[in-house]
This record gives sequence, structure tokens and C-alpha cells, in this order.
Amino acid sequence: MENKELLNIKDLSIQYQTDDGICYAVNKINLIVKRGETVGLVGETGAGKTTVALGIMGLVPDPPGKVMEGSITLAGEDLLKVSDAKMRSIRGKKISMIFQDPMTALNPIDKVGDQIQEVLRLHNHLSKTDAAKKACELLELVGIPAERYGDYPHQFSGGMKQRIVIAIALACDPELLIADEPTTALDVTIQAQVLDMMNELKNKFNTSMILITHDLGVVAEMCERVAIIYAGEIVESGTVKHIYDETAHPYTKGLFGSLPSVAGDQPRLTPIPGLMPDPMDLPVGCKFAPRCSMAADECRKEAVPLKELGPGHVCRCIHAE
Amino acid sequence: MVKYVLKRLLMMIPVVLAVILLLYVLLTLAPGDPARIILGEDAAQELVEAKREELGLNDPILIQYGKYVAGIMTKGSFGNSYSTGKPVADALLERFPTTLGLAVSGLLVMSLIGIPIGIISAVRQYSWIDNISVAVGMIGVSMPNFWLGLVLIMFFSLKLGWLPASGFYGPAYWILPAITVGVNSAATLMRTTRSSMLECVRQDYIRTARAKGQKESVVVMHHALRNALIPIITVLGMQFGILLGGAVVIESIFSIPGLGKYIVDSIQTRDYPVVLGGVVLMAICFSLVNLAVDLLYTAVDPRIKTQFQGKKKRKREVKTG
Amino acid sequence: MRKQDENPAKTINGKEKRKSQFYEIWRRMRKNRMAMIGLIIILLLFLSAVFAGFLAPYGIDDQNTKERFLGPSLQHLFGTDQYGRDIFSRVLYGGRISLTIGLVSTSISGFFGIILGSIAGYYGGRLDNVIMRILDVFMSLPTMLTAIVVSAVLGPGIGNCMLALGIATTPRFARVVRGPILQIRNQEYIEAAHAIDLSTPQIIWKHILPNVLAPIIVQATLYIAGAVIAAAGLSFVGLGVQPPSSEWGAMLSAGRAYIRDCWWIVTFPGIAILLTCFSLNVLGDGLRDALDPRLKN
Repeated sequence: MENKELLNIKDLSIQYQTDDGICYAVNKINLIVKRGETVGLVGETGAGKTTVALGIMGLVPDPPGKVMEGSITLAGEDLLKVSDAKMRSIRGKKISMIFQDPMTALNPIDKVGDQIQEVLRLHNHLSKTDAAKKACELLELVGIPAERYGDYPHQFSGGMKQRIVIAIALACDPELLIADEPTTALDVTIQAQVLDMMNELKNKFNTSMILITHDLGVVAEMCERVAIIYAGEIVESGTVKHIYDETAHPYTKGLFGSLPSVAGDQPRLTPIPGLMPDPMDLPVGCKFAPRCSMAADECRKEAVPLKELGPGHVCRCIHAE
Repeated sequence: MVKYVLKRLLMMIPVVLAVILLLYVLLTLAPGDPARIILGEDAAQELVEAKREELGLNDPILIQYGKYVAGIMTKGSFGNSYSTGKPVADALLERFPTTLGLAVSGLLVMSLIGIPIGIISAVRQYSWIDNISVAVGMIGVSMPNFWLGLVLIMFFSLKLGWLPASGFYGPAYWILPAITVGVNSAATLMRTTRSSMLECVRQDYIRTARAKGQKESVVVMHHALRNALIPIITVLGMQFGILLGGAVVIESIFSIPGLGKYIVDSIQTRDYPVVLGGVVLMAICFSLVNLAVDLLYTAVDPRIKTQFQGKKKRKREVKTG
Repeated sequence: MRKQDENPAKTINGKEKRKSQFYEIWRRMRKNRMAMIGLIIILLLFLSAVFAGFLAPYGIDDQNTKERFLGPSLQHLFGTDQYGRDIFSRVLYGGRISLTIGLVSTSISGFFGIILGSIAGYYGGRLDNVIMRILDVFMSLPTMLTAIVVSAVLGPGIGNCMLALGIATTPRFARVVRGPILQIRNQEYIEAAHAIDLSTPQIIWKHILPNVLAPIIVQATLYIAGAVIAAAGLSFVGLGVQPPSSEWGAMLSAGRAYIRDCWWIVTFPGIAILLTCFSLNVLGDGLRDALDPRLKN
């Protein structure tokens, strides 16, 4: 079966217009997600990953955020041009999102079962009893006993709360799931469990996923393709093999280099020197140049376009082969 | 749950006893000899001495206090008024419902105005409605309500003749006093509602609700407002105490025959048993209202409710990942 | 989106850090238009009270039976009262009384409140419990009621009024102080201070109080506003400051009898109270926002 394109983001730019200046959070991003595929979106805090996700969901807070240009096409429709009502019908049904902190993601004064039920009644128009039944099934699906339908979020641990969030996200069988650092706030052992569960469910329902993370280990486990994002731009993207074995961009190399390795001795970690540029004051030319060991004058002169290094492997660096 | 209520009521008793002691001691220090007040300044010395003996004023203070409290608990007696010689308790009970009614109507005015405007203000932050509400709210909080009472009388009673200026004989008589008593509290409640809503609307679970594709009106009313109510209830309780305290002054303006006016008049005539009884009654009332507010919490916030559900249910809180 | 640290030197020299902190706070305050308006108004009111002697066209007690009950005019901006006294002048002089009461009573409640609250918050445990129980007893009475009772005992007069208000608001002030102290006490940098063997007073002075200073200043500003209104209320019911004093509440009380025909006698003192409290409240709110910007967006 041919892998069809599900989501196509073209030249997406999002800004935050504040009293202190304009924050260029996302700058002409291009990203494609195929059906059933998991794409990893990797970058540091502040790189713009969450903003991209919010952009797809239509949840960028306005004010101060504004989508300046671009298109986000889901199965033929440009989400940036649809009406509010249409977007609401897509949110939670065709595209779902899981956020980073499970501790605060659930309404503290609603029963967890009712919170799952809410999505079902909203999109699938189920009756109260049917929705409750389905909610119980979903709880069991994510490994929580159905009797706990009537309990409140504070009665669950962080890992269990995240599972409930996942249950809500998958309730209406979405085509695309955006997971924004779903396991960052959890213990390592719980992380593994939750990721396994996500994988299982993903395969079961053939859901596409955008997995936002800064953890390269998680990416290796879960993703087929990866995009590295820096200062609001995609600096490299390709299959997992491309990124891990044929690393091209200096930033990506730096990310790998700053990881501690269990194999072999390392006297010191090699972090990437410097900080990511202030999104209100981005440099002209390559955004990574200030920190790059290979930076030359031509890097700083003008914006660097994406170069294709191989089928499906692109890199935004004039020095890459 | 019932056990908790009883426990709280029991805990209230020492506090009330302490308040009575405090007030009793304070009023004993007040100027004026009770015997002379009753008999008149020119009474003969022997009569005054006899009266003092009769009233038990030569006993040590703690004994006097003890007798006073015993009188309350066994006979429901607050002593006799120095001016009329009649039981204080009767006079208090006659006037208390009026004051209570005034405070409750103030509570209604405050809630009906404060909460909706606070919600609208928060939901439409920075709009002209919000800006005006914030400014008017500030003015409302800073306004001396007894002055407002006079202004309202001048305008609506004396100039326009629409509403009565004094007395308390029917519904029309309630309008101006209720507004006067409630204005400060309405403004405070509006500000609290607004800030509570603003805080709730920023929470992660609101983002989750929107990500489900939920309508904005449901997000605001079902998710945000119900969580925002929790601090709002606290303010309601506190404001009730302020309303009671304010009633004292307001009743004088509108010549309302309530407990407040009675206390104020009695201060002028040095009728201390009345003052003591009246203030004690208000203190008990205030404490009960605070207790009611605490109980209301447990009904509204499930995080507190589960504290009272006993061990049986606690076992079910299995917190594994 | 965080702006990167512009001045790394800030952290090197402790003194410089504090100076630039004040500047930051001032800068935030300046952005808040309402707070700036409040600041200007209260400064004007303060100055007009201090210089009432120069600004007032008439004396505080200049009676003139030929000019009784005159409405507002150019000679008498706020009109005259039942004794022919110029209300504008009396309001100006009254500002001295009201502001004095506000400042002194807040100082009293601040002084005792800080002591009690610091002890309760810092030492915690039994001492905290005992102090809080006692304060709870005071707080089971609405503030105004407490002020009325204490005032009734002490009698009328400006000194007694300040004392009554100070006593009535001390418990709540203590609570305001206790909260942050309890919180900070448990934080790790206090443990660190202990570890390098600083004495208790040193710890309180250097580490704890600076962090509590912000809420204290905010509360104090708001309490002054409350005290001005409460003092007026006390005067109004016959406690507090009495006529012929030109304390604003006393003026309201005295003018009550004439509201049918002379609206100005009661209106202008009331507006003075309103303006004073409004500016203080707005200033207090602005201070709160400027001192803890996390609370804003």
C-alpha cells in the first residue's frame, strides 16, 4: 500500500507580537507527515517545536501570536483557512494533541471518566451511557481499571494521568496525534511503559504521530523520520538512518556529541558552546553560525536554503555533503 | 462528614468563649459605672452601692464573666439593658433578623453584579468592557459606602422621589440600603472573580479542553468558572463579615431598626450589656458563616472532599505508574 | 520568550544588583498608567494636606453667619456649611487628619503585625500555633466591629481612633507577614545560611525580610486606604474624631442634617475620601504587579 501524505506544512511562519518586540518563533517551516508514520521533531527548549504544534491545532494564543504565512494541509484542506467551527470539529477528532505536563493537563474537579466522555460526546455524538461505556473501554485500553472512572485526577500518579490524557487523545480515533514531550515529566521507568503503550496503540489504529522531544533516545525508538528544528527553522530532516548514521548539520552533530555515552570513556561532555539566539533578535544568515565551529563569512551573509543531500534527506548548511 | 461538621462546631466553642471574654474585659474597661448609668448620675451613694452588689459588679472579673457565660448557656440570657431594664436577648432577637436580611440582600446584590461582570471582564480582557470594569471596580472598592448611601438618598429620594429614604417597611425600602451595603463587596467580588478567572483560563487543563475541540463557551463556563469558584467562595464568606460590620453604619443612615443601629445607639447611652450581646451575636454569626464556607469547599472541590471519604476508598488509590 | 540577561555585571556586585532591581521595579510601575495616576493623585493630596495653610483661602474655623449654606462658587469652591465655614479649606485641613490617621494606624498595625507574624512564621511549631489561635479569636470579629468596640472603650478623639484602628487591623497584618515567612523558612537557601553559621537575627534581617518586604509594602498601602475609610466611618457614628474637627467623616456626620437642601456639604468630603482611597488602592495594586511580575502575563 502506498504511503499517502496526511499532513503537509508549507512555509509556516508564526510570530508573537509583544510590547517588547516581535518574537519570530517559527520561520518558514516545511514538514510532511505520511499516513501511519511517526515523525520526530527534535530541538532545544525555545526552538519553536510547541509553537508549530499549536499552529497545527489552531491553538496559537491570539493575541499575541499570529500565523503570518504558510499553509497546513490535512487531507486536502488548508487548516489555516477553515472556519473556527470547522477547526473545532477537527480538533480532538482528526488531530489530537498530548501536552507536556500530565500533572496539570486534567481538570481537577471533573471525574476522569467524564473528561474522556466529553470528547466522545462532542465529536461522535454518543449518548451519555454509550459514551461512558466507551470511556471505560478506553481506560482499560491504556491500562487503567475501568472502576476508576469516577475518580479525580489528584488520585492518580503522573504516569497514570498521562495515560488518561492519551486515552482522551485517542478516543475519537484521530488520524494524527501530536505528542509534545509526552514523557519528559515522567520517571525513566514509567517513560518506557508509556512509550511502549503509545507504540502499541499507534500500530493498532494506524495513527500518524508527530513526536516532539529533545530526547534522541526516544526518537530512535519511536520514529521513522526526524526533523531537527533550531531557532524556528528546520535545519535537517530525513529518515532515522539519515539523521543518526549520516548526520549532516553541525547542530545535529553537536546534539549527538553532547550526549553521554555508556560505551567507552569520556573525560568530559562536549556541549555546544553558546545559547540559541534570542527569537526577537535573530541573526541574518545562518542562525546557528554564532555557535558553529565551521562558520565562515558566507554563512553569516544571507539566509541558507535547504540543500538536498539524498532522497528524503535535507540539510540547511552550505558545508554539508 | 457529619463527624467533621460536629468537630468544627466543637472547635468553634472555645473561640467564641474567648471572644466573649475579650469583649467582656474590654467593656469593663469602658468609661462609666454601670450602677450610675442605670440609676442616673445624681443617685445617692448607698443606692449605687446596693445596685453594684445586686449586679455582682464587686466580684472578680472572671467570676462575672463566668456568670455571664453560664447565663447564656443555661437561660439564653444576655443580661438586662441598662436603659430599659428588659432582657437584652429579646431586644437582640427582635432586631437581628433585620440586620441579617440586610446582609443577605447585600450578598445578593454583590453576587448578581460582581460575578457576571468579573467573568465578562476576564473573558474579554483588555476590551473596553474590561477596562471600564476594572476602573469602576477600583472606584467601588475605594468608596466609603456610608457616603454613597447619603448620595443615593439625596438623588433618588430627595431629588427624584423614587425611593424611600428611611424605615424598613416593605421591599422598596430594601433597595437603597442593599445597594449601599453591597457596593464595596460587589467591587471586591468582581475583582476577585476576574483575577480568579484569568488565572484559571491560563491553566493547562483549559488548553486540553480546547484541544478536544470544545466550544469556547463551554470551556469558560464548565471548565474555567467551576474552578474559579473556589477562591470566589472564600471571598463571599469574608465579605459577609464585612457586610455585617458595615450594616452597623448603614442602618444609622437609613434609620433601619436593626442590630447595628441598636449597637451604635447603645454605645452612645453606655448600655453595655446591649453592646456586648449584640457584638457577641455578630461574632457567632460570622463564625458560623465561615464554617459554612469551609463546608461549601468540600462540596465544590473534590480534592478536599476525598480527604473525608474514609479508609475504605483510600485503599483503592493504587498509585503505580 | 525571555530576553537574555543584558547585564552580567548585575550578579557580581551585590549592591549593583539591588540598585538595578529598584530600577526594574520602577520601570514596570511606570508602564502601569493607572498606578502612575494613583501615585500622582496621592502625592498631590499629600502635598495639599501639608501645605493646607498656604492653599486654603480661609481658616478652618472661620465662621461667617452671613455666608451660611452657600453653594459652590468662585469664592467658595466647595460652598459653605451651616456655620458659614468654607468647605474647601476645611477639606484641605481635614486631609491632614485623615492621612495622619491612615499612616499612624497602619504603622501601629504594621509594627505589631510584623513582630507577631515574623515570630509565628519563623519559629513555627507551638509558638506559631499559640499566636495564630489568639489572632483567630480577634479575626472572628469583622474588622469594623472590633474598631467600633475598641473605640467605644477608649472614647472619641484622634489618638484613640488611631489606636483602635491599629489594634483592629494588627491580626490581619500579622497573617500577611506570616505567610511568606513560613514559605521562605523552609526553602533551601535558608538551610544554606544556617550551614554557614549565620545567627538568627542576621538571617531574618538579610534573607527573610527582603523577600517579605514586597507583600508588606503592598499591604501597608492598601491598609492606609482602609484606615482612612474606617476612620471616617468611626467619626460618622460618633466615635473617632468628632465635630468641630474637619476630619472628613466628621464633616459627613455633621452635614447629614442638611442634605435635603445643601448637597455640597456632604458631597465634597466624601469625594475627598474616595479620591484618597482610590489613589492608594491603585498604587498598591500597581506595586503588587511591579514587585511580582510573575503574577501578570
